[in-house]
Amino acid sequence: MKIDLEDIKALKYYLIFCLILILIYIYSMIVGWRFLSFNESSHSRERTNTHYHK
Amino acid sequence: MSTFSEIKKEIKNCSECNAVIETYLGSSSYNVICPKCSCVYNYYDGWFIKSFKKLKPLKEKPIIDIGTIGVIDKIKYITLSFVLKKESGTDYSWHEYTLFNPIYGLAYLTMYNGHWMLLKEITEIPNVEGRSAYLNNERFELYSRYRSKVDGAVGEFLFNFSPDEKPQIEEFILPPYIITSEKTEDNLVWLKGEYYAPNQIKNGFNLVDVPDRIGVGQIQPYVAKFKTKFFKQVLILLALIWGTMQVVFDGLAKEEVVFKNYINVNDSTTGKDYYTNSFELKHGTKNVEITMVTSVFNSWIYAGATLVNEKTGDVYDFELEAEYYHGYTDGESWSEGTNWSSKVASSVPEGTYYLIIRPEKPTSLNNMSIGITLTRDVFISSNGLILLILMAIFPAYYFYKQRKFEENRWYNSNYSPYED
Repeated sequence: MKIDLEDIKALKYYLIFCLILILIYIYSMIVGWRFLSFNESSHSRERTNTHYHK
Repeated sequence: MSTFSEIKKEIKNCSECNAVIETYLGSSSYNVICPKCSCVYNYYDGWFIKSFKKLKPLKEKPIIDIGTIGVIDKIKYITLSFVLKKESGTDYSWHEYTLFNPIYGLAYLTMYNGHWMLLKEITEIPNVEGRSAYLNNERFELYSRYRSKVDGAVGEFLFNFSPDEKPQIEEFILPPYIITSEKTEDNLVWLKGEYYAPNQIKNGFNLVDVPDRIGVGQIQPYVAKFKTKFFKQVLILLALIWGTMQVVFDGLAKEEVVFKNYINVNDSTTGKDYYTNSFELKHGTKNVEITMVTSVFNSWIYAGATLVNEKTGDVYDFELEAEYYHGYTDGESWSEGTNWSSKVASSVPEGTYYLIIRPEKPTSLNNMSIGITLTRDVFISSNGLILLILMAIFPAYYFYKQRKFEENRWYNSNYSPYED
């Protein structure tokens, strides 16, 4: 596969974007951070789920 | 003639209208056309002889004047002639300029709707199969098939210019390239062409202005900054990296069940805290997943779960709710909800923890057993999906635009692969 430097330059922003995403992904998988877990649990010093009203 | 310095301008006078006729290749030319009255002259054995042929007057002025010297791809050319061509039976017309270089020979620069291409005769004969033509293992697709005719011309020609001929033209494209066959009764010529941006022609010939592009050119490349082929290779590489990461992280996830128990929920335990024994969460900072499984039917059940770090007092709260309904309406069976619930807490440090579970049920519900499971370090597939979606946004946009571009390119073709 012959790589043209001009092609890489033209795609640099996308490649940098992907690199950042991949690094964030690797970090998230190492520390067990689930991107979509904002509403799933809350971390604090006090309980917040002691009352429930259906 | 082997160098540019040997090209000398000669002045002749038209015997019919007395207009000045400029020639550059002298007796090397075959025909010369008067710029004023369009009479055709022949060079024969050094003599400049007026023929009986006369063309229609030109309806359009050439953008590049005869005799203009220009440079395309570092090759210097002199403009010998201008032919206004037309597709026979239609109103489509385009410019064709004959260019000459003493070493490289003839080239034909065409312009249609502001789109330029430079064509040169090739000696290889492409292999035509159905709507495709193959040249040097590259597949060109049939774009158009028509007869062309001359609608006016000026300048000199190194070949026998036959304005009455209507050659059969077949054009096959592989943007930014084109191969075209020009077939007359006694001759078949193949040419290969390449697209040139208007600015390349404007700068190459020092023109004041060139027409703006209209629509998408027949062989206009889509986005010139990087090659689609390279982009596809990058995407394949990214897909491989993504797939590898999925396999690796799925394999690395411990998915260790640290707590599992059943809790009986009845009228006396509903709304009351249930404390579990202590358990260890290991493996550094990782996530935990808590799952509640029930056999609830046409009702709901809820459990507030709190994961407490014995040493630091940090708490992680979860709300687990399962509701499942099933019935028949108008003879049709329906169901909604699930009888289980699962939540994840991200980045929970290792340590000794216990759970406080406060189950709740409606009064209408009898005794119900709920199964609570706490799993350490689960594989998070949704992260990979989000990564994939984010990385795919730009390629999706790029290929969507490319498809629209290609549809516009093929709009004027009878052989469009995009038609239903």
